[in-house]
Amino acid sequence: MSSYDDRELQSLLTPDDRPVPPSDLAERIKAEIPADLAFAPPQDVVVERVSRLGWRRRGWLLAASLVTVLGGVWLAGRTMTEMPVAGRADSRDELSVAAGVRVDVPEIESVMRDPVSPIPDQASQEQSVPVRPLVIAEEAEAPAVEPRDTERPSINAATTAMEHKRPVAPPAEAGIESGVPPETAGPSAREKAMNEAGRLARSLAQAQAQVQAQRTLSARTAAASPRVEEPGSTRSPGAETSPNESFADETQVSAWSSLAGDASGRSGEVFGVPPSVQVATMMRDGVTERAKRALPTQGNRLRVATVVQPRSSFPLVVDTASYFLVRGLVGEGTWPSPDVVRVNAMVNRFDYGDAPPSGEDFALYAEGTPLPSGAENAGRVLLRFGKRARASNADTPEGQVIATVARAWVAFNPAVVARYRLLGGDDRRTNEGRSVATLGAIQTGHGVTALYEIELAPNVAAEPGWRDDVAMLHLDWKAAATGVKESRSRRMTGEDVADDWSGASAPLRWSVLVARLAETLQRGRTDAAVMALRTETERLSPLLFHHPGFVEFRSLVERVGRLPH
Amino acid sequence: MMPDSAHEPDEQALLTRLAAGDRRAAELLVDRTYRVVFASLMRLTGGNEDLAADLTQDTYRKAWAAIDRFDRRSQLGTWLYRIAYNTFLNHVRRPARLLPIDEQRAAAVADPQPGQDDRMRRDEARARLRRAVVGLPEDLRFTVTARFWAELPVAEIARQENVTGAAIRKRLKKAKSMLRLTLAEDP
Repeated sequence: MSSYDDRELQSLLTPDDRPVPPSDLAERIKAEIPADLAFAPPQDVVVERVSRLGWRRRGWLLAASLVTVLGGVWLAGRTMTEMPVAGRADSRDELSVAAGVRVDVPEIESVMRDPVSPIPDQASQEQSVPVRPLVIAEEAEAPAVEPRDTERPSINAATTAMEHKRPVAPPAEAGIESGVPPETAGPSAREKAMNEAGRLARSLAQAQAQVQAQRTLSARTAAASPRVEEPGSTRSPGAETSPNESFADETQVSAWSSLAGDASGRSGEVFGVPPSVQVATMMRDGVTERAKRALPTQGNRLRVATVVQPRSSFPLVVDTASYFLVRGLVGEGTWPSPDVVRVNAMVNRFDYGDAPPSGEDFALYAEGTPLPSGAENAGRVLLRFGKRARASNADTPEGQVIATVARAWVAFNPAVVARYRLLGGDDRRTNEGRSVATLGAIQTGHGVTALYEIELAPNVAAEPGWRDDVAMLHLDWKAAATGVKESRSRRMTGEDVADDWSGASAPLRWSVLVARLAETLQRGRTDAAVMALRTETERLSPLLFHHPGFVEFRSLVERVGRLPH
Repeated sequence: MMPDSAHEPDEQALLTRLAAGDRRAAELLVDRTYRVVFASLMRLTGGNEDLAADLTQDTYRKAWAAIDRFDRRSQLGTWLYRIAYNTFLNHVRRPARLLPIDEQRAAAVADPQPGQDDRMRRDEARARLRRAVVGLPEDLRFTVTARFWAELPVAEIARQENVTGAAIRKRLKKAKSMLRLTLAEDP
């Protein structure tokens, strides 16, 4: 018998009967019930289930669903009737993807221009920003920095330069830029088809304009720092500083560089062409699926080019169950399978000692360190961003929600950061590709850590003691008590980045080691990786021996080192 | 894993009593759930009764230790099955026990009675099916075993996995396709 139909398979999968347990099993289980069972149930258990909804509410839900479905059918029918252009539906889908790449740019620039901007759709509801305990004092009051000819541009100035280089949109494009569909004017089907073709051509042109702006920016950056030129080099300064080329020879993977990604991480830019151009080109050729895959996906192993996508969000709510599963497996002498290891979960299992704010709702932290010395690590820097909510006190008991909706993101300075990668970003793509939410409710005492690996622009990496802006960490949230949206930012400069690995803070090095352990577990054992991990962990021990979390981590590393091959 | 009787306290009430340290509530919850936990482990282990009973005990030991983290997103039985499933995986992944599950446990599957050819063929087919299920990717394997061997409703699995019911049905459909292919290749 070599094949089954659905019915046979279903029948085989469905057991005939339920096995009967041994007669004494229940007693054996009950005998092991702990004497002290009392516990405080989690407070975030309020999950409304459909089964508990009242009949009236179910009825409303059903009616709303019906309206949605019928409306969709009606719209589809109308579209088919009025727009009989072959392939139109597909081309619109493709174009919307391309437009997504393009339309994002003004928003990103807006956010980066104004480091404390509220959530975009609430721009009109500007709130007074409370005193920020850890934000640089000049940040809110200082005007945008105008770059001098001899300076690299700051975050604000760099993005302004990009904006100025963007071509002026023709009148027909204005509707696209502002999100107003051209169909509202009521053109004929033929005109609409022509518009679609025009859109496609403009998306290509605009993507190419982005590349041009990127090159111009790189050239300006190089001109500001001529020291990057290698003796004897015959290449132009602009070519030297192109972020695309800075990864051209990135193929070596060592014990440490494995932490920072592998050669496969280069696929974000195939053949050195930014994703926006790839996407537009592929769409022109009708390669829809490939085009979608080429989009700069947030948080995966692709290193994202900062000039293409300077903004990266990270999850505020992290389920750390993976860590406990990994610890259990390692404790039993088993190398965990890669699919159970979550970098983000393991990193966020530990409290790295970020102090809660005094008098404010949130404190933001940012620090960085170069990776340990080594040719393959040149120009690679690990950044740790942290957020800590105020701790509980007499007014706000532990576990109280202080922000109902919150999100955090980092905006990188493209003049300093050529590319970046969110460690553990792959964790978001689980369960049928569903993204782990980057929004979340925040309780008192809540903390979260995000680690980014960045590749410095070559001219920055070559300059010892650089102090330029690296990134801006943003947090905005809706206060649970008042319902008011608030925001906070933390500027990170070169001064927040240690000169070398040994000079980095102990918590930062620890967090990097945790990520390194997770990625080692994911990628399979190599003696060199485990040895390096154990060595670095031991070096940290005198600094963190008092920290229970670190003691637990060190024990885990030792057990991993003892796992059988 | 529904209550045996509609007249008994519902699960939420028992869990509340449990949180208050009521041992009797814990015993009632055991009575309600252990048969299905044991049955699912019997199916996972290929019919090894002693092993299934040991793993059932392990499951409850772990459950008591982690009960304060049970968020009640799903029913207790669903949560218990996740623990049982992980306990089973931990067991078979131990270095000393890395023999293929089917070979390890094949001898423990009850032999068919003489003369019962149909039954024998069916058991043989089930053994092959079990091999194929164990070889599925993790998410599909959990979903299939939870649905058929732990007898959990789709909605419950969806809550446990934090996905939609449609996603679970998609997984089941994909798993069945893979199982058919595997069984077709398995001589």
